[in-house]
Amino acid sequence: MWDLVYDLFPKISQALNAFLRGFLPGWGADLAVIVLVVTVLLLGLAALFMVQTWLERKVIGRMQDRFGPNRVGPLGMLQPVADGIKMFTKEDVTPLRADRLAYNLGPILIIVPAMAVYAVIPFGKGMVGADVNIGVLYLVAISSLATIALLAAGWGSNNKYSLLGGLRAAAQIVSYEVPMVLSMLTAVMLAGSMSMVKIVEAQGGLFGLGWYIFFVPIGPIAFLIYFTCGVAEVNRAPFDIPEAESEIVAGFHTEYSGMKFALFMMGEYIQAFAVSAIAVTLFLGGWQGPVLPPYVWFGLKTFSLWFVLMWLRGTLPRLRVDQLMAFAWKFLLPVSLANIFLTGIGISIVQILTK
Amino acid sequence: MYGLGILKGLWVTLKHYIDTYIGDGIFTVQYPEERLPLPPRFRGNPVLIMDTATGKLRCVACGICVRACPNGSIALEVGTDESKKKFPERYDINGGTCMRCGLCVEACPFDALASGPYYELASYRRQELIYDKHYLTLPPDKIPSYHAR
Repeated sequence: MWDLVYDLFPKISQALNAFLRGFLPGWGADLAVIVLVVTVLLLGLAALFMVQTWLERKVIGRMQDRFGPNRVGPLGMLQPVADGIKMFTKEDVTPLRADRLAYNLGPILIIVPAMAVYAVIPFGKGMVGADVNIGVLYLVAISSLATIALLAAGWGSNNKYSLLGGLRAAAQIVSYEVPMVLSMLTAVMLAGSMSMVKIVEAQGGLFGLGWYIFFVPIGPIAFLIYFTCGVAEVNRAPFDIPEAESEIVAGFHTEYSGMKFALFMMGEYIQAFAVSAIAVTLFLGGWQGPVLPPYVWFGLKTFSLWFVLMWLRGTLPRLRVDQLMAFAWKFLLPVSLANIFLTGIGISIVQILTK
Repeated sequence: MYGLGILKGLWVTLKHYIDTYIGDGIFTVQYPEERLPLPPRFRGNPVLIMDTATGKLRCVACGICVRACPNGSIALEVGTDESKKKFPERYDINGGTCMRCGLCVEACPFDALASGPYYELASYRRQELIYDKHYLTLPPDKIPSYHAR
C-alpha cells in the first residue's frame, strides 16, 4: 500500500501502458501514454497559474494587513476563474501601425519556453518528461528564449514604453544569465552530470538529506546567486524594471489586452514557478527527503520557494537600472566565479582524501 | 554588513503576515456584512424622535423647521388629534435637496428633530428620495446624535 502511494504517478503510467498494450501495438501504447502525460502536464501548468495568482494575491494581501480576494467563492478561490472570464470577454486591441507579426508572436513565444522548461524537471522519482543528459544546458537555452518574446512584444507594440520595457528586459536577462549559469555549474560539478535526474539522485545522502545547499559554504552561496538571478530572469520584484509601472506604464505588455495580456502573465508566473522548481532540483535535493513520498517533497519545497518569491515581492522596492547592472556584473559575477573555484578546490580535496 | 537591511525588511513583512493569522493584523471592516457604529456627531438627514414612553412623536407641527430649511426640503401638513393637539399629518423630507445642514435640528424648540443615522441613500427614482413620516420616525436609541437623548 505504501509502495503504491510512494510511487503513485509512475505506477499509474505503467498500469495505463499495460492496459493500452492489451489492444494497441507497443509503440501505440507508448505514444498514447506520452501524449496523455504531456496533456496532463500542460493542463496542470495552466491550473498551477491560477493557483499561483490566487496564492500571491492572498499572501501579499496578508503582508499588507489586508484579506486579499475573499468575495468570489470560499476564501476567494474562484477569483482566478472570474479573472479568466474577464480576460476572455475583453476587447483584443491591436495598436495602429503595430508590427502585427511581432506583436502577435510575443504572447505565444513567451508561453512556449515557459512550458518547455518543465520537460526536464523531475517532479518525483521517475516522474520526468525527458531525462536529457544535458538537462541543465537545455534549461539555460530554453529559458532565455523568453527574451526574444519580450523584445518582439516591445518592438511590435509601436509604443515607446513597450520598446523601453523590451530593451530593459533584454539587457537584464542577458546580464543575469551569466552569473546564473555559473552558479548552476556548482551543482553540475558536484553531481558530475548535467542530467537533472542524476543531479537529484546525487543529492540522496543520509535520509535523502544530502542536498547541495548543505555543502557549506559553496552550496548556500550558489543557491542564493541562482535564486537572485532567477528572480531577475523572470522580471519579478525587486527586479521588475522591464515592467516598472511607475516609470514605463507596464513595459513590454503595455499595449496588450484580454487573453494576450493573460498569456504574458501566465508565461511569467509559470517561469517563476520553474525558477523555484529548478532551484529545488539543483540545490534543495529535488524530490529527495525522508518519510514523505517524492512528489510531496518536491511540491513542498517548490511551493516554499514560491512563497519566498511572493515574500520578496511584498517586501523589496524596485532596483534602479544602474544598480541592477552593477549588482550583476560587479558583485554576482565575481562571487560566482570565486564559488566555482572553491567548488573545484573542494572536489579535488575530497578526491585526494578518498583515494 | 550588506544584505542585513533586506533581512530586516523581510522580517517586517513576515511579522505582518503571521500577525494576520494569530494577532490583530487585519483590521479591515468587511463593510456590507460588518459596520462600524456611527459617531454621535454623524450628520445625516433629520429624523423625527419618537417618545418611547408614549410611543408618539415629540413634534407638535409648529412649522419652525419648515421655515428654517434653506432649501425648502421639508413638507409639513398639520393635523389635529381628538384632544385638539396638533401633530404632523404628513412630514416629508426631500432627501434629494436636503443638504444635511442641520438648521432644522437647531431650530426645533421641542428637540423633536435630530440628525439621523441613514447613509445608504442611493436610489433609482427621485420619488424614492422623498422620505415620509414612517421612515423618519425613530426611537432615541436608534439615533446616534446626543440630541435624541
